[in-house]
Amino acid sequence: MTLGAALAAVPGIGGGLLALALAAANEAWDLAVAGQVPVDAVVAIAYPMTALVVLSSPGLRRGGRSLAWILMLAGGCSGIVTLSTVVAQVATEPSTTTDIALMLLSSVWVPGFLSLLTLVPLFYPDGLLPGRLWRLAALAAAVGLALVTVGVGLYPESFEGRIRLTKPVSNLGVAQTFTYAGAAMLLPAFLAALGSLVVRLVRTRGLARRQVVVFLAAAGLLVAVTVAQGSLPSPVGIVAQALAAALVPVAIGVAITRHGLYDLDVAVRRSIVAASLGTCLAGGYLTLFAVLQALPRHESALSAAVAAGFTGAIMQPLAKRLTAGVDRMFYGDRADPFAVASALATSLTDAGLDVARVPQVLCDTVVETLRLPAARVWLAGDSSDRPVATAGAVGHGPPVQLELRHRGEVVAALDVWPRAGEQTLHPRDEVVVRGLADQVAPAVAAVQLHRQLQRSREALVAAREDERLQLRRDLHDGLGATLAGLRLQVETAQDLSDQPDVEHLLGSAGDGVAQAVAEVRAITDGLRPAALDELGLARALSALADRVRAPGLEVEVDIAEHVSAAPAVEVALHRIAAEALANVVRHSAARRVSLRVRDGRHVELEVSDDGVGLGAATTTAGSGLGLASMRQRAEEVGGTLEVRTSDSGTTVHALLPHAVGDLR
Amino acid sequence: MTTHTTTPSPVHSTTGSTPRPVGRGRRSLLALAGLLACAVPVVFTINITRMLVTGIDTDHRFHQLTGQGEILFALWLVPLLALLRAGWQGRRPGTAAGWAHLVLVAAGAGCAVAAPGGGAPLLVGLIVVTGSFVWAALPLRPRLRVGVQVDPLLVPVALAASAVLLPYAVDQIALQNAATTGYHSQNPHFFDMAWISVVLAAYALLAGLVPAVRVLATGFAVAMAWLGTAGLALGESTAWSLTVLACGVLAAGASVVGRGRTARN
Repeated sequence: MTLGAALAAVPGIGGGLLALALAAANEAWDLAVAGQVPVDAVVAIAYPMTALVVLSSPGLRRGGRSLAWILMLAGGCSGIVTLSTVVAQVATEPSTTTDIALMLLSSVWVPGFLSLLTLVPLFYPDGLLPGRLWRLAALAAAVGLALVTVGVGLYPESFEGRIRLTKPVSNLGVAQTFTYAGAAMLLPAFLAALGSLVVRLVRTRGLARRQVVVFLAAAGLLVAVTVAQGSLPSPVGIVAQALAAALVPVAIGVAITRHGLYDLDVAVRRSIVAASLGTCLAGGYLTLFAVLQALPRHESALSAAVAAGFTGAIMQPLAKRLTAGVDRMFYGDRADPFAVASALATSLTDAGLDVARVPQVLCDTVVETLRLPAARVWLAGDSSDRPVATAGAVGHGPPVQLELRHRGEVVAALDVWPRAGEQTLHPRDEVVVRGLADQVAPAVAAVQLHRQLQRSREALVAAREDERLQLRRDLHDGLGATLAGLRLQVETAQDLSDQPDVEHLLGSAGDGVAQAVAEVRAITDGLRPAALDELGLARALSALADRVRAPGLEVEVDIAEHVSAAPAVEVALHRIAAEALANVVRHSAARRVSLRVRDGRHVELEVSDDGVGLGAATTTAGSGLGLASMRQRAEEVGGTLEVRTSDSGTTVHALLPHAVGDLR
Repeated sequence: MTTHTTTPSPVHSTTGSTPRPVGRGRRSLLALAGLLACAVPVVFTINITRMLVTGIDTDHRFHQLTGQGEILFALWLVPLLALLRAGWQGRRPGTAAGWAHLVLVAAGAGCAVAAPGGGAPLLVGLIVVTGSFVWAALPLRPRLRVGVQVDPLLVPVALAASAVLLPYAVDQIALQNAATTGYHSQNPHFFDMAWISVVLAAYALLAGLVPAVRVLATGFAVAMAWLGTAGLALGESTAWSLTVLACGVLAAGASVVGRGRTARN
């Protein structure tokens, strides 16, 4: 920021503040045109401040500089108009000063206000016009502003303040000529300015589009409030218009800070710290001075000295803390790695040291403590196409990927998205994130190991059940059929024999074969529920429910007709349903039980009753009621099991995949 | 309804603030203390609201809407109710509720010492005694020793507001002390205005300095907006009212920005 820019801001900021002080000192708020003063003062102060922030950027381009100077011009003109208005209001007799003030307030508002409707939309957001043809619109706006400024300045009119003031220089004919000519250029320029915003809105995407939307929302609100001025009561209307006028530079500020326009983060942070510190010191000084003045036997000079000494003493530590606070607003706890590590430790403790939650805790900590948009963790060697944890809003841009290493091996990858407007992670962010990643890497390695173990277990269970199915079929269709045929032959031979001894021997042999057939059947039933192969899954489950029907127990069955799953999952479903139904019959004292199976992305099994609940049941049964075995069966195939219980009943809910391990 | 088993089974943390079972005796004590502490502000609220609705003492409508009435009762009742509710449920009351109640009592005591006319010390004494009953009856006290972290948006608003509110409080105390005869010698409205001004300034400062009580910024913003609007509508100084209103709006904005930064992530 140059000295020239600082000086250029003086008419706006200085004029606005001086006008407010003058109006307050002279109790000018009740005069006729006083209502416009706060609005003009807000424009006079807010626009040059925004311009100063933009101009303070070291890497500012030519376009950005143009937009900043337009904002400065608008603010400066408003400052002059505000001060002139108050001077003319409070004047008690005509003078050269009031003549100058009258000429200024009647004319300078034109570049101050109408440039906001023409030049600012044309040059927003990057200070460049949308195309070459738009230069005509900008030229028309500039010439139109100049003509209308002269025209309205020369318009013969009087001003009603404490006294009636008349313009020293006026000419109706010249005023009309300039005003009409200027208006004829300004109207198309205004329409073109609106058109340029629409063009930018249509042409742009993503970040640039959001910048336009933010500005349009603020400008739209200002227009709406201005149109509604007639219908709002006096103080409300003024306050609303002042706030809406301030929103436009605030929107530009938002575009700068939040959307990375002009890369002005450093300048904006320093500006916020300076403004915050200045306000704190002024507020602290005035507060202390007022309190000291209220003491008995006070002395103004002593009070002022004590207040000044106090504010001087707190300036340095306050500035340090405010800077840290502003940094925290923008970058979270990046400057305080201990705070980040501490937050991670607290979150891990809150998670109950459950290692499965560590990746999620890591993502949450990165996003919450560093104010980064999003983070996610992928486990190394995980065949799943889904991350193991995600936090924040994952953006469209490429993330920065960091490796989590344990004992020299990559156990996971951490994707972190840079802040809006940044191409990559700031080195300080990266240092902190790497520190977090190193801390949790052993735990994530444990998660990876647990997953691998779970996958191995699932594979073993699937293989075991497949083998059992095959064995059962072999026994049933091979050995079982052979034995059945042998038994038939022996019985036939027994019928044909007429010798008692032979008949007796054949009878014994037939009994032996029959016993062998029964044993084979018992073995096959133990390998896998026979009903699953004989009836299918749906009817096998339905048959389970039919078995528990009894007087005093109403059984409700709702099973998806064509439900199907892998052999291991079918067995798990059958065993869980059988165990849950057996629990109902043995322990619940229920009058109603329902069995529901839904088939969707996963298979859901639900057994619910209206019995006494597990609390009472465990008291009487004195056992775990097979809950552990049910949960184990669900886990074996990669599913989950939940048991909800209360005094009014129990619900067993199992969520199982169609194929083993597909639920992850 | 309780969940017995889940997969994977969670292990619950023992560090969180878990509700403590509250016995019948403790609840009876709480109810009695709450009744004593809330009786006066509730009766006052109903009475002042009735006066506002029926148009009694219309000359004092600004005071009825603010220091003598609605704002004071909000600052008085809301922390008490928060303390009682948490105590009833066996939870530890929030730090904000604890500090808000202490600030109200301390500011009232300070203002009563500075402006002892009109029965102010009696009123503050009543609040101190009944408030201490509530604190004694609580199963868990609020955590008052918490970390300080400067909010760069709220602190300047707080100090700017205190530069407006504390001189105003000083003026009101002077007016109260000057009112030795007439209506205000019996009805210490100026004391009330000074009281809420000090409380609001303290709210803002606490909200700006202590993250655990940042919610007080919302109360400050609402009260300041109410105070400023009432001042504008009922003929108080326009500059003062606008400044108070602006402080309320700025505090609301700072609070929203702070919350947005947290919520966005």
